[in-house]
Amino acid sequence: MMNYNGNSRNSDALMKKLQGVEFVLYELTLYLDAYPESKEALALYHSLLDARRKLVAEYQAKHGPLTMYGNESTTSWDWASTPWPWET
Amino acid sequence: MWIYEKKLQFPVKIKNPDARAASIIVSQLGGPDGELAASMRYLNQRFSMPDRKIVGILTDVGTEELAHLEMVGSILTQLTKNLPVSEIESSPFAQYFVDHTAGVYPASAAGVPADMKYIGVKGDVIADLNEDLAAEQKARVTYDNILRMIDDPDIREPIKFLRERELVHYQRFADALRHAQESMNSKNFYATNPSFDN
Repeated sequence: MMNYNGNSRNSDALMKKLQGVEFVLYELTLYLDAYPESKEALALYHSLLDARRKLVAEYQAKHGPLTMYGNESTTSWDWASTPWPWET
Repeated sequence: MWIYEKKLQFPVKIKNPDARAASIIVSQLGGPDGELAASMRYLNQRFSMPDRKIVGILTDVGTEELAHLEMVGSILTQLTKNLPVSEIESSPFAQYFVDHTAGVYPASAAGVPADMKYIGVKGDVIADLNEDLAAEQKARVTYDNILRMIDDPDIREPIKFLRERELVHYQRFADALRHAQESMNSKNFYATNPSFDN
């Protein structure tokens, strides 16, 4: 396994930032499903996509994969061996 | 298809195990208005919806309910970790423990295993969206009842988050119902079965 920071996935400041950005994106998604004509909501959605992309890259480099497509190491399989979200 | 994100939607970090709290919160995993029933209700209703916008709302709310199911499971597992048997046997969690130990099993607080009788899929846009509006309010009431019985802020914070989401989902389903009725023939005053008979 790569030398990832083995801390819980649930308390780290970076995780909290990612949860915050993804929460707003989820809320905007539900809103845009109902109000696709809202230019304001669509602009806000786009303004956060890049922030999310950067946070995901930073998180995965520090703590390992967030999805099955995020196993960046070519020499070790870290997807299952890094902490699960309910571990404290 | 779905892929998993290895994170919770909202942090769950409970310091003190609490058998009594676990015995009531389990209802939001597998009870009549729990997150398992919610996700299955919306994700299955999608297929017969005559309108893409409504399918979008059901898909995204239904997917979020799966994330809530995982949050409730995380709460339960943290509440029951390293609990001494002496504390379990004198708590209402004893009845659950004898069958499931500290495993996470979808059942109601009264011990009834989760059942698809809790959900409705009528194949009718008006009937199904009205069911969804009621379901969100019933889940909100259950979270209110849990909050009435629990003081620990570590438990209350994620429960309050889940309660808030029921309010937002209710708003979106209200938008969906309004949209469905506006899209119907204006002569269809009693809002009957537009997806099947027309």
